[in-house]
Amino acid sequence: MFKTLGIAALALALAPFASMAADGGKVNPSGEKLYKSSCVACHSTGAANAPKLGNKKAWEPIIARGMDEMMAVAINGRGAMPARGGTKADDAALRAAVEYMVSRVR
Amino acid sequence: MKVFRLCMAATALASVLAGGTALADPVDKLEHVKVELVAPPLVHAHEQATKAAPRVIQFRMVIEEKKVVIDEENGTTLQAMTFNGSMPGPTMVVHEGDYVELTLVNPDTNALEHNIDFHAATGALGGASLTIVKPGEEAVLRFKADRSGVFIYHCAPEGMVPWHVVSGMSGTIMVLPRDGLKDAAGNALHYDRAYTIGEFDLYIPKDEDGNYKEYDTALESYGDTVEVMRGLIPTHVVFNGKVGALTGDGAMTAKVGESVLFIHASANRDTRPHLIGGHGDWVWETGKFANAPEKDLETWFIRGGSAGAAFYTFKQPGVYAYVNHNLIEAFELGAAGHVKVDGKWNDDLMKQVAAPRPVTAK
Ligand SMILES: [Cu+2]
Repeated sequence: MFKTLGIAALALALAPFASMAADGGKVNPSGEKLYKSSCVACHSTGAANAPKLGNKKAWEPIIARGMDEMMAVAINGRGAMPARGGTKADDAALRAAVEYMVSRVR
Repeated sequence: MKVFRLCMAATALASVLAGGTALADPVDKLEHVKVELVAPPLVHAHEQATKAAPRVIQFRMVIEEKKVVIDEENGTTLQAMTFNGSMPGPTMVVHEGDYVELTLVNPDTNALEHNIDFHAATGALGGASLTIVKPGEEAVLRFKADRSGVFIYHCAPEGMVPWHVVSGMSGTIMVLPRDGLKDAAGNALHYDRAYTIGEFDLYIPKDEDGNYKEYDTALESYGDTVEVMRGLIPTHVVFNGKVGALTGDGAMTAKVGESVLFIHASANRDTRPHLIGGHGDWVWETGKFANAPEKDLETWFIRGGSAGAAFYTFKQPGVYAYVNHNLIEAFELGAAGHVKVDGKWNDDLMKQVAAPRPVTAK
């Protein structure tokens, strides 16, 4: 698990536009679940200027900054984005949700 | 699902408006009055007819996100969002021609961005695009209350308006005519007390076993809640935040001979108030006092997204039920309250000629 995520993060940082799903299809299903229960509130509509799910243009510069930076925002919040996306999700679930959102930018 | 967004250059608009503040604003010179709000169903002390000149009435509301019990019998909870910690938010009262100046505070203990849309106000989505506050921020909005009536206010954050509204973020502002309320013939109507009732249609998700789900945070409840909302069938319909809020110790009270103004607001969904054993003597069901009120109503109708007002003078003592007269919504889903009325019984209006007894022979 750790290894997979580590590789995924590395791959992400090096090749920003690679699809996560292409990575052997190893997408953590808890990511989509967390996205659909909570993150969707802002990221489906762009509420509070959130980057919309699937909006390549909005996500490119975010992905370019790398997984560590995205996780820092997911964990600590930034602007209107609440810490942990306003949930009590743990780091692994948050990372999976970030990966899910990244995977949807093709 | 296609979701509508209100696309609006809020920032650009704000900067245009801010440009005007460099000039002297005559409204700044008007008398400013701070009013402390009180929790519903009570309404803060206010004059009805007034001789005062138009003023700037200052209010402050603090947004509070919190988990609340909406049905004590079953322990069902809602991840609520509130103005000042109550559902509905407190009722504000001003007079036609006054300016409302609201400081809206979003403490850093909250997770979400909020704002406020006043149906009584003109422009900028009711003030919503000028009051977007993140946790840890506050904003001050001033608007001219140039139309009399009872009006909804509610939160309306772009992209998630219905969720914030059905989670509790609505209340009422009452703009009284400067010479008070009038009946259809123009005679003055003076109420002895005013109560404010906010009706909320709630959409609480259930688990696979059919039990209501409980969540750690508001955002964790979002996805499931929206699914229930899309079915358009509320799981609960409550007055003032929970089943039975206006019964027992929370019941409204009055005396025979007293006149009560019942302000009823529903920000999202239609309702049809009725006072069991009473009437609406004079009712503004669309809530706007420049229109003549209707007389002798049994049941009136509040459109979702509006507030209405009913004036009634009690003539009999007893416990009255004040309900949404879709009786399923009242007695199964929660939209019912009580008014306890003291005083002397009037046999002329009603008399029990024979108490229930076995059927007598012809
Ligand atoms: Cu809100």
